[in-house]
Amino acid sequence: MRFGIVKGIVVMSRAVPILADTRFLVVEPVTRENLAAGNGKGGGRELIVADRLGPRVGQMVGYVEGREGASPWYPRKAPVDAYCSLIVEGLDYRPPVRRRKNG
Amino acid sequence: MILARIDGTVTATAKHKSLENLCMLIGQGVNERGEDVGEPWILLDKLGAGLGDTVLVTSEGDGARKLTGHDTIPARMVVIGIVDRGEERK
Repeated sequence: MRFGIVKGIVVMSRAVPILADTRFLVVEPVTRENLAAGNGKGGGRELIVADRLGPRVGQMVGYVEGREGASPWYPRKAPVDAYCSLIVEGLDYRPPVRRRKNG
Repeated sequence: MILARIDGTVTATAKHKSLENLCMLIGQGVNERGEDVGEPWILLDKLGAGLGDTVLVTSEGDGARKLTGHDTIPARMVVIGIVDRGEERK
């Protein structure tokens, strides 16, 4: 899972039936720098995340990407590749101070 | 699989039911020299990894499904080992 900040909600006029009870969030991934700063900002490239937990705009969530995004519908198959797994309550984040290599 | 350093813990107000009773850690991917790579992950752990530990993490969803016994778990990064020491030979 990655950290993300909920930036908005996507409302659809129609969707495939299996997604009828699903919300869709606009989520901005949180960079290491913003996580350490605790500034409520994301900093990554926004994506759309399926959701059944109901976070508010501005809250931090944990989301999963890829095939596991559709796991909550198992054994049915849903056309979903990103899912909101949790709403963050708090972090105890203590990275060491050192140089970073991007990758 | 990747190597990651444990940089903290996460608590949740709400989460998918398959994540109950699992420890959630903040893991920073590292290379063979211990340098940070990429952005932090939320890792699932049942081994008891602690702050500063280097761990081996599987990114295959089957690992999370087998760890929890839940086929519906929306997660794939799971701690599968705590590193004692690493050695690279060239």
